[in-house]
Formats: sequence, C-alpha cells, structure tokens
Amino acid sequence: MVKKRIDGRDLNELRPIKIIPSVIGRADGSAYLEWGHNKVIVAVYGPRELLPKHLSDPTKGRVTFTYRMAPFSVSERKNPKPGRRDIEISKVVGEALSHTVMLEEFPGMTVDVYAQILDADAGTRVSALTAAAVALADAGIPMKDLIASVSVGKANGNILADLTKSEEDAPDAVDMAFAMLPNSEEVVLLQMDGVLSEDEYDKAIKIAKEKCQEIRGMQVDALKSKFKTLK
Amino acid sequence: MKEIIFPGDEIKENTKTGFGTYKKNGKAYSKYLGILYKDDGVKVIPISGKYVPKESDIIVGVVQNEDNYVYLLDINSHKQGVFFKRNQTAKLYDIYLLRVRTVNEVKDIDIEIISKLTGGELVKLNPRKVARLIGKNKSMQTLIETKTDSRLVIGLNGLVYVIGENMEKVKEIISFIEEYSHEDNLTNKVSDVLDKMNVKK
Repeated sequence: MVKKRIDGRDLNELRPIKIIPSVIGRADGSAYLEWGHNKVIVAVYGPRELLPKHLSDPTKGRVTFTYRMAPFSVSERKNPKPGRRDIEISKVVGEALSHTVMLEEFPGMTVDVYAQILDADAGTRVSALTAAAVALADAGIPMKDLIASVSVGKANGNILADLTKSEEDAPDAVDMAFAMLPNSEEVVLLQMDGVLSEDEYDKAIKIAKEKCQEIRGMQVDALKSKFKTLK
Repeated sequence: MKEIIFPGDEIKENTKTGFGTYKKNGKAYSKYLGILYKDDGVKVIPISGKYVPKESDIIVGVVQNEDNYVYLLDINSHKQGVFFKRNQTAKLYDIYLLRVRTVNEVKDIDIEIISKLTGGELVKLNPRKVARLIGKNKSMQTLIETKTDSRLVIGLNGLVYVIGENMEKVKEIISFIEEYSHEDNLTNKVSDVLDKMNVKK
C-alpha cells in the first residue's frame, strides 16, 4: 500500500507553491510567495550607501536579511518585538544569501532584504529564503545562482519532504531546513532539530537536493512572467 | 522575443564573455536576470538595477540638498553626485546635464557640469533600458523626437529631460519601451504605436 500523509500528499511531495515577483512598487525588487498555508512577502532595497560609514568595507558590500513574523501569522498572538528566533533566522538566512550575492561588485554598499511572514505553517524560513532569491533577481542584483530552499524531516518513522505544522508536532519529529545553489549543489543553509540515523540523514539530503532543483524551476517560471509579450 | 536568461544559467556559446557573466571551472554563467546578447561575444543585460557610473558618461542630475560648501545631486545611482558651491551657484531642484569625469574603486564619482536644463520636464526610466530608448545610431531617439515634435536630453542614468508640447505622449512611449524592451524589432513597434497615438489626436 502506498503511504499518504494527512493532507493527502506523497511522502516526498511538496505543497503547492505560487510565486509572484514585483509586488511592491517602492522597493527595488520584491516577491510574494505562497507555500501551502505559508504566506511571505519579501522586499529588496539597494545597493545603497552603507551608513554609518565605519560599518562599510571598501573591498566588498554587505547583504542583510530581516525576518519578522506578523502578530497574526500564528494561532496564538506573536509579540511583534523581534525575539531570539527572529534574530537567529535573520542571521542564518542572511549568511546564506551572502554566498550567492556577488558582494565584491558593490564595495562599501549594502543590500537590505526584508521578509514579513503573513501566515505560518512550518517551513517559513525556507519560504522566506526562496522568495528572497526571486526578489533579489528582480532587483537586478548580481548573483551566482538562484538559491532554492526546502525543509525535509521525519515524522512517525517516515522521511518526509516539506513538513507541515501538524507533522512537526509528531513525537519523533525531525525538522531540517536546507538550502543550496542548484547548479553547483553548494549547501548554504543546513539546520536540524532532533536526531536522525546516518542512513536517514543521507536519504533526507538526497530528497532535499531533488526538491531544490524542482523549486528552482518554479522560481524561473515565476520570473518569466515579468516579460510581457506584445499582442 | 529575445532570449531570457536567469542567474546561474550556463552560457553554452564558446565565445568571448562580456558584461553580466562570470566564469567558474572553465564554464560561463549568467550573473543577472536579463537578456542574452550574442553579437561580438556574449553579454547579459539585466532587466533592472541601479545606474552604475562609468567614465565620460553623460548623465542628468537634480539638486537635492546643499550644505555650506557643496550641492548634492540625485543621479539615480547608489551614491549622490557632488559639486562645489565655489564653482557654480544653484537652487534646489535645478536640473543639470553632467559628465562623469572619474570613477574610483569604491564607485565615488567626480562630475563636471555641461549645462543647466530649463524649459522642460524630467521623466524617470529604468537605467538598464536607456540603451533601448536611444537605439542603434540614435534611431529610436530620432523617431520619437520627430513623431512627437519634442527634444529628448537622455542621461545614461535613466533621467530623461523632455522639451516640447506633447509631454503625455512622450511619457507613454517611454513606459511602453520600458515594458517591452525585450521584444525584437522594437523601433518598428514603437513607430506603429506613435502613429496610432497621432491618429487618435
């Protein structure tokens, strides 16, 4: 018998993903992403001069990422004050982005990326990172590749791709956020909660790599919609 | 439609690689989301982004701010343009035609004034699409100028100073070029649109 998940998906099937680039007029680049019940909006500003001047580096630029959850994005009200979790995610995702953005092209300048989670159902950091890659491409920032990102993990003894909140709440749940540059397969983000055996880990990474290639295809399709054809 | 390329896409052509590409392990990849041009080596022109100053570019700037010694100009780029009060007196929101004299390693620029611009209106456009507005041998610029009976002073930084009566028409055609810059044979299409506009009037 083929195993199915609570929402009827196969074990390594992604939730439906919808990406719309250029949604914010004032930003240099932006994207809106729906990933299952997750809803994320990302805006990119820059490159612009980095002030105060003592923070700037004359040999390379800087990319910052700000992750914030809306108070209404989770079932119990989230305090809008950035907590430990928001600060950690901002740091790790910002570092992942700095591996793809060609920082040496804009010395002494900064690119600021802001992500706001409007609705959360597990895997928000990977949704924010996937949307951020589209927004950066939309802003015309030089990049090595479009970062693709996915969460994999384990629930009830099965290795799953793209866990939902209810699956993450399973007693043996393992959640692993994974991001890579799809062309070179260079891993830029890897965080794991819980314990996996060596075999399970290898299997999870293999699924994650496959899914990242699939997600890059979706990002490319979304960016293609920017080019209108003349009737 | 021209060929669209995405960041990280491999460029298969074995010719000389130019702007907007990078090399890794002997293979060439695109840096930008943009359009791939293949004449005389390959290059990728991004579809968006800010103006990156180059030496001897002609640009348009707006006086935005002043302090005791200098005027600061908005030149639609990462950084502001600067000229000294002792050389030229200006008022806020004056518009100048400028030449980029030098650009250093950290993209600070030194500008010189060519002339002050008066009697027209400023139109902004995506700096990456200015080349399309000018066209090969200024073909597009001349077409718009003759068909709308106006004069365009085009700054390479995406600020266009328009002198003439048909301001609305010029604005409309500039936004048309911005939107469809990836189309082939753009000059003919723009010509058709301008003809339609003239008939409507």
